[in-house]
Amino acid sequence: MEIQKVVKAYDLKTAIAALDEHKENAQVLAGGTDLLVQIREGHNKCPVLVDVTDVAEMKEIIVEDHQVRIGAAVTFSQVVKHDFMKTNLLGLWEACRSVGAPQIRNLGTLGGNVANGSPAADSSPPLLALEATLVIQSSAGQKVMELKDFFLGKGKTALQPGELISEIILPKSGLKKTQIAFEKLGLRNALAISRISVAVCVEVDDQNTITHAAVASGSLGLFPNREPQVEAALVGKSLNMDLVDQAAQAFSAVTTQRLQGRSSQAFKEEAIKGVMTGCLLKLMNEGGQA
Amino acid sequence: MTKLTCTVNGQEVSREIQDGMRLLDFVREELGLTGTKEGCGEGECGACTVIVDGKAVDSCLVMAVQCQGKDILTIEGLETEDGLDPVQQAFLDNGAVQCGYCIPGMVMSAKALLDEKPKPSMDDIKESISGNLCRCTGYDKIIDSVQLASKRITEEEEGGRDGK
Repeated sequence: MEIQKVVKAYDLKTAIAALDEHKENAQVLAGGTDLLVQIREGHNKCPVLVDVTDVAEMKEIIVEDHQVRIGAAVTFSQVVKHDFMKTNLLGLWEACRSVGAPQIRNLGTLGGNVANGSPAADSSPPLLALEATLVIQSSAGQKVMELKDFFLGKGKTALQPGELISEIILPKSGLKKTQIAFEKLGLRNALAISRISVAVCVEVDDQNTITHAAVASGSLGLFPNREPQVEAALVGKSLNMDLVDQAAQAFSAVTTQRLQGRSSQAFKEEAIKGVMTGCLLKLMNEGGQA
Repeated sequence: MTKLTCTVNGQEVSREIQDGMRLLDFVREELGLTGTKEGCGEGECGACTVIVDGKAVDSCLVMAVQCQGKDILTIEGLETEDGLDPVQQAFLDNGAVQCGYCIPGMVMSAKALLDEKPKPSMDDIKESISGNLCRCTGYDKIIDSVQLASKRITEEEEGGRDGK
């Protein structure tokens, strides 16, 4: 569909007003690395774009005592250059660093990655594993939604016409004990769309027992998923090589079940073992360094 | 139609353009700066790389009106009265150009890297051009050229400091 109007917003109020004015006819431009390809192919659905990439309130990473607030228009490059993110949220940092190439990371935003609802979105598994919440704004006001409830189907999300994601919030409770790792299988190093990605976030006590586990996957199904069956295989156990093997097997069983009858099943039920193993080994190394 | 005012290669430009125009088309069609190439049109090949506010971006993935008030540098903006940019000169001296189609994008990616990090590691260089495809597969000489440009830039800077 031909683009008739692009509203360039510099503040949240203008962006929300423009979305409210054009409702179903308007779509948020939050980086454009997927949207401009869709437009080029004539697959976009709205003639009006509301550009939020320079909305001041959406461009910062704010580290607070109890939470980290990531503006939805924060680019992958901003995350990659952010020392706190690298030091404390390595899995999310690695996921952002694995996106595309520098030109893509300079444009693409975390809010756009989430709102796009792609099953292969690189930042979604670590954000799910970190139990992120989304701040969604519209002319009716502000609401907060857990990311795990946001994805409804392939490219389908809970975002309604007139709404935009303004912020992604990561709870920071016990962050020091929390470790997050990310592993991705792509067909080449640069510019690869992930075929499988996994993020694991654990809290480990002094006896090396996992007290809390959050596992999330990308490209294993219609949208990025939390994996409760795999989480159950981790909690209460010691993080060691035996557990790595058990968790990899458990993830493989989940994959077999979910991808039943799909052509990717045979490949992914094997490949997930390697991806999960790689991810847990990173966690073990991370813990060793701390 | 929207009036777009921005700085391109150091000069302020102002044009009435269609809202749906990409930055790539603005640069090539409106301004006639055809050094920037269109390869794939979907952010895979990097042939259309330009620098916006100091950052390398694929100009096929940016709407022109997004660049309101911004500072845009294209391959045409690199040459100054003193001659070619060190990156351009290094590419020439090393014979890093084969068919040439990817080269403007390669040079802009390398330029963005060296502006930010004049002494990059080998990994930094490879990473910086990871979004630029060369189908003649002339990557070795391209990487050598970025190293040579880095050497010349840092020598010049250090020489300049010693001179003072």
